[in-house]
Amino acid sequence: METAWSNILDYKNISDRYVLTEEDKKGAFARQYFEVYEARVNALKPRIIEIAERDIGKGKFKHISLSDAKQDEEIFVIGVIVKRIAARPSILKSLLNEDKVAYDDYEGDEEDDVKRYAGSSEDRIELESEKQTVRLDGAITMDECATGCCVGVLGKLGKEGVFHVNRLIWPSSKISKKSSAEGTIVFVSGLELTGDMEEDQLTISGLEFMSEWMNSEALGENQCPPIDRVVVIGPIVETKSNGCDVQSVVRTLTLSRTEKQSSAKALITVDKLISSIAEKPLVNTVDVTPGVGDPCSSMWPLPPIHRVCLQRCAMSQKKVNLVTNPYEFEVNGLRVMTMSGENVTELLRTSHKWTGADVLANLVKWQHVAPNCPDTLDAFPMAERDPLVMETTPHIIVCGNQPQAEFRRVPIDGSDSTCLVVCLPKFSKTRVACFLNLKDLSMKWQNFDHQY
Amino acid sequence: MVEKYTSVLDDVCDPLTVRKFTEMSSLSRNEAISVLEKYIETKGDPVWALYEVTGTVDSSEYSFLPAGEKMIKHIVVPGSALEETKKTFSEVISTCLHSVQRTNPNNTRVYGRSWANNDDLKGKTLPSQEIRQRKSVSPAKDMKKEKSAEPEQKPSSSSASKPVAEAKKSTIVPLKKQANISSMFAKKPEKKTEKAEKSVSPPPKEEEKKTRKRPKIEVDEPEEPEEELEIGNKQDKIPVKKVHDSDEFPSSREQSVEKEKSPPAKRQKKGVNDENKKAKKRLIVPDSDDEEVQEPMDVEEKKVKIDEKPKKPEDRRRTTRIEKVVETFVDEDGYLVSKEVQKTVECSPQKSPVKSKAKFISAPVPGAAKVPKKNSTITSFFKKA
Repeated sequence: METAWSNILDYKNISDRYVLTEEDKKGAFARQYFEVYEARVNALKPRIIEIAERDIGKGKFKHISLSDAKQDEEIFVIGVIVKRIAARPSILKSLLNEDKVAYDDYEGDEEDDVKRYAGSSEDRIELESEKQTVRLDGAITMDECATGCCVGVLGKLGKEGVFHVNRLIWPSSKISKKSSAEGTIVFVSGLELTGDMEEDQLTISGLEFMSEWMNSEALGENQCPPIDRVVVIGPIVETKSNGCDVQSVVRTLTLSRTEKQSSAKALITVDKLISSIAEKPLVNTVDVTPGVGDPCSSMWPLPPIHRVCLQRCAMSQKKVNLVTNPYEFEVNGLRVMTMSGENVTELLRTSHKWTGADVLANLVKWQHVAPNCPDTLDAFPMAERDPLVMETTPHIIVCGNQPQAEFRRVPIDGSDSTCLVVCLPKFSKTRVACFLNLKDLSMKWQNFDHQY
Repeated sequence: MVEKYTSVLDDVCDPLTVRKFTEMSSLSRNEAISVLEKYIETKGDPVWALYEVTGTVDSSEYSFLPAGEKMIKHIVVPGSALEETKKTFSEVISTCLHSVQRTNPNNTRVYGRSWANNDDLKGKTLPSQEIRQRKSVSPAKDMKKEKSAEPEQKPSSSSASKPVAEAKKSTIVPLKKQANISSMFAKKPEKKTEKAEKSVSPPPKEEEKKTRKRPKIEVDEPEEPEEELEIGNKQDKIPVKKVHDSDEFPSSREQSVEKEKSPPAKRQKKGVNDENKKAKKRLIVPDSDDEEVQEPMDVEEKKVKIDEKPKKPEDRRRTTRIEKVVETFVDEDGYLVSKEVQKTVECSPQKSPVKSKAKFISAPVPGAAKVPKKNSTITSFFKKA
């Protein structure tokens, strides 16, 4: 992607693959979602075989299709994981029963956790290959995988039609060499402005306070480091129901969905706030990534918010950058990825043990940004490619709108490098921003509040 | 120095932050803070001072922080609460003056003013918008071309559902408008061949189930709704029908053909028997599909088909009949819902068109609930007989 400006650091926007092309849109109405999984398998299959040859040994495993498998013969099969969770809301169940049962409301998620699906003895894992689906057991647990993950499985097909897993092989990961960079990047997520002054007071004042502090000339320990860019992760306006989860879809089909529309006032407020931050002399650039519910398509990957919606930001083209979600960029060779977090939130529901950092670590292991697309997360149906496959593992992954603020350094298989994964809480609830020092990848959580 | 700025500060009504004062006075930050602090001392109570306290806090008070994690907190508090606030920090990094104001901080806001107006944009335009508007025209056209291309590409398909489905895709929006719905019955000579094929095609029920997105009109005779629609269309908007030739109700084509010929198309339709009621209780699409198939055929062929359902033309002329009309409308939530209503309709050639108008899809009735009909929902296909 070309950028019209340059910052202190050598910046490069590498989110090209998240932008829909004409080829992607052509024929999309008639496209089936199985093509998405097909593209995913095609992209990750060579990388799985690469790791299988490295770990098991070249020529020491029999890679065949599941339909050709014989009983009690050890084979290596590649497919897509399907986690069957009994408690997961199902559109078909709802329509079949026609009872229009009111499922638990996802919107009432507590601030420090998300609602998880209740476990059941009926829960199981299946592997879906090109022609067949088979149940898995053995060396695989519900907390190791998610629906949509592409994996290689070494094992035997049992008498009962169950595939006994001996070993799992995940795709290889590729990470570029880390280079040093001087500067600080600020990450803020979940402004969720409503347009109502009373509701937005703390958020707006916190953001203004932060903006002024970043541009103050305070000395000593309270001095703000030079800010290269501020990344504002959506959603920037509040919508009651984001519509991306299975629950919302069920409610839509059963005509029981209520939705609070975001207001134009909220958009104007956001526009003014962000442009005021960008105009500050000591802030170089503000990147704005949308979330589900913002004025753009809600199908992953989300396109940039149109400049018509943020006119003041559009007028400061050199300082406000409207980007995609996920958003990937490079500063002095350091690769950073940000996402709005709906993918992680939906994955959290499928396990009682996972935290946000666990999910991000799993995403690095699975080499896919959102394997639950299009299962529980709306995704644009693409046939020829899957843009959410991690072709190169970023050095830093920042996930917004998480209930807990946490970070972790995830080791990369086959490399000495690590990937720093960061979970960022909502600014609307916590007034917390993350200041990332690019030199040593150290982080500071900073809270901006008023007590009057 | 304080005296120099006292008069300036006395004129300030809004809350004044240190930063704004440094910009006004061109002083350094420390000097500005010093001036303001002295000003506060001289003025006393009428002037309120807000202080910014920065320090580290423990995670114990914040549920979103993991245990053991520390956070830097910046908080603005009135001078009266300064000492108490400092105690909440595990370590205070700095304390400095933030702003001054003449009213209670609870009554005015340094931050958080209303931002929700576009006054600053008056007279300004986005030059890039014009370019994008122009660009958006061509892709829209391209999309329209793509959409229009799809049905053209598939007329040769043997299955009746596909062209109907595609046509239906293009007519989902017009379904919401009664005028456009009636225009669906516009003639299309090209589609007559399709109708001919469809007349030979197997069970309309399946086609209905697959392709049904249109309102149902249950009539005694398959052609009746077409007639009614046709007549209604005659009365309403003939040019609209022509415009909506892409809509694929075969009955409309029949009607249009009949219109060209003579008014009482109903006579032809009267050949349809009551025996076909069950079949005709399906969606109009399958019936219409059958009719579409018939359209390309001659009227005689239609009569042949009609003869399959043994009814004399004379029997078609009934004074009244009860018809089940399915009205489709858009409810307040924007969902397309259908409601089955029984209506008595006169069958006289002159009057029936007028009354058969009632069988047409009426204007959306907000708040009307969807009445599930047998085999009308997707789930009904999963139920055992």
